[in-house]
Amino acid sequence: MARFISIRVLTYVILVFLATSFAYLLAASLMHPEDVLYPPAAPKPVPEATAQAYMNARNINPDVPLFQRYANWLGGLVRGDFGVTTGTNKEMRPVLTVLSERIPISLRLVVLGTVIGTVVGVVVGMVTAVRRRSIGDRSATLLSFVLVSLPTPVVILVVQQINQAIQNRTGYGLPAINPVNPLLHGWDAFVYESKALVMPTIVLAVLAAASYSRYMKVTTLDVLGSDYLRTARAKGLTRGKAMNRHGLRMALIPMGQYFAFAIGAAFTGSLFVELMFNWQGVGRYVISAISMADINGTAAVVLYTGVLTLLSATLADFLQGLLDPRIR
Amino acid sequence: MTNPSDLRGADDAATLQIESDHRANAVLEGLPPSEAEPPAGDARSLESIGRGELLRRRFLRNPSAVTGMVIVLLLILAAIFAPMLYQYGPFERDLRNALTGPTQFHWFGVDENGYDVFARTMVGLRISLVIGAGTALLTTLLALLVGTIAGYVSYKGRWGAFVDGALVNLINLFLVIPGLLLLMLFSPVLQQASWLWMIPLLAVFSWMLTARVLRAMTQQLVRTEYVEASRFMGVNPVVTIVRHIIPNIASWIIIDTTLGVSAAILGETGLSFIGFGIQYPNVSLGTVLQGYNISAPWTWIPPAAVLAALVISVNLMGEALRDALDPTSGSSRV
Repeated sequence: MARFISIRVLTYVILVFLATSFAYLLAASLMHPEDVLYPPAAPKPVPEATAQAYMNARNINPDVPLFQRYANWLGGLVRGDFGVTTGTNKEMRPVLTVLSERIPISLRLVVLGTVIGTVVGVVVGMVTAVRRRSIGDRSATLLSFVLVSLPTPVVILVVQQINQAIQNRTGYGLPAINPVNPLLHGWDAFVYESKALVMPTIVLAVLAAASYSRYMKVTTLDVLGSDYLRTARAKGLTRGKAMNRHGLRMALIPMGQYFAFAIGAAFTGSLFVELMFNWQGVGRYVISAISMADINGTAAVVLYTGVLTLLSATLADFLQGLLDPRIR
Repeated sequence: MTNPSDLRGADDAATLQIESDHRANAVLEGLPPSEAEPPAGDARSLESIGRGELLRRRFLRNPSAVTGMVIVLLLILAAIFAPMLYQYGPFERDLRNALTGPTQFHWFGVDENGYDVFARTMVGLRISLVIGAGTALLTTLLALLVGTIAGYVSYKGRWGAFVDGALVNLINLFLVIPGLLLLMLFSPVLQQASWLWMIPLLAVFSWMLTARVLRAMTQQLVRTEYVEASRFMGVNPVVTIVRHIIPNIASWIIIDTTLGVSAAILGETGLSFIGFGIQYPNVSLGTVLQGYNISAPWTWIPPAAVLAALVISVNLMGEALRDALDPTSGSSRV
């Protein structure tokens, strides 16, 4: 078990390193943050020495070879230094500071949405498989089919529009955008933040649950036709007991592989959620970083998503080892 | 063990029925002829149904498949003809009527920039359809290339295992890379080139899961006797793959291409919605959705509804195709 997991983790670490390096090299060759020194309507050019110092401080000097810049960035990365923000914003803040401000905002969204979505999806998938062809099964299957076919922005718009309609009708509703209200303090601020968390979490949980319930239904149907479940029924267990004691574990094993990529999908989903609910999280940061030609920021976010995928894949392997004695 | 002489095709069955005609048979002569009367037309054409014909019948028997097909055809016709016939273009501003609801002049209303929502939706549908179909085809091609090669070489000695391992790690690498972020990186390059470059870009980041499945299927096929036999006869590996392996996985490829169309449309919509996909001189459904306004629902409901209708009906067709090709699903009656 330990050997199995350590080999897997090593593979993931190499993959994340390659993905981040690829992203850095791509960003460094496609983006031109030095253009900010040559605005189209400048009264006089920036002195050469100033320009060089500006670009060297940010490790974006186009006169330095690409791989030299990559080596500089990698050296900083080993020491825990992600570089500074570059691009049209001349602020030059350490990327690590920016990320440490924004990761908690995004992560509570992603974790809450994924956990609720996974649990709901697994339960719905199992129940619809056991009660096949009932009205509940038909409506749940139809609903998940429609949800999987909708792009994330449309799901968000539907949720926001429903909230708006309720607010227009009754006068009560959840906060439409913004995760925090700077005017409130103490208990009121906590209540506001909890209310603001509801709609984004619903969106992420519903999207995750829709795809999970579809996978879970298929794996549960496979398990329901198996010999060992029939044996369990034959020795006198009720259907629910047989399913809980023998079926659920076997149906969950193939789900582990889907879970490995769920956090990555949740990150993409949270990108839209942060954009449309005006949350200042990592997703929103990467959109502005890419449009502002911020090389270090983009690479750092790719590293962040890679680490998230790594963690969820390791967790999935661990759960799989826990559930499936054949791997141990 | 099956004896080769026991195998009878549908043609043999038809000849057998013709030969065992009641009136020609002395023993059966006494029976009433009406039941034994062979139905009108050539018995051969009744008995032998080709695979394509079988799939066509199973597909058309499924009501949701027919619904999906009709909706997709209607949307394609609308995408071709509506922008030609409608009086407004996607970038014609009517600022006097900005943020007004549907009227007889502006069928889906006007957004806050004075753009006509119907005109934009229809032109956007054109581009989304082209990108969806093109990306799905290219994705399948890439996945087919990587998947069949990795699956075919995996049993060919040490070098084969090495190449297979490298390709599998390539697949995993692309799965770890956040595709949406890299597509956003390419956006400035895309703005200076044709919007058609979107197709290869989307395809490069969406072939991995299909390739994984195709590799597993090829690995199973490589171990079959007929592929082994063709190898011992010295047939070129490329010919073996094209003639023996691809026909056996063709049904799965067709399904995946169909479902890939909707995946590509969703990916393109998301990218354009954030502002990194199709931009100014062109419009896609994602760009139209970008102009949403919660207090004026007609700015986003029409493009969202068209998008949902398109993706849902393509998915319906894909699932019906899967049912038609899968002999264990309920639809395998003739």
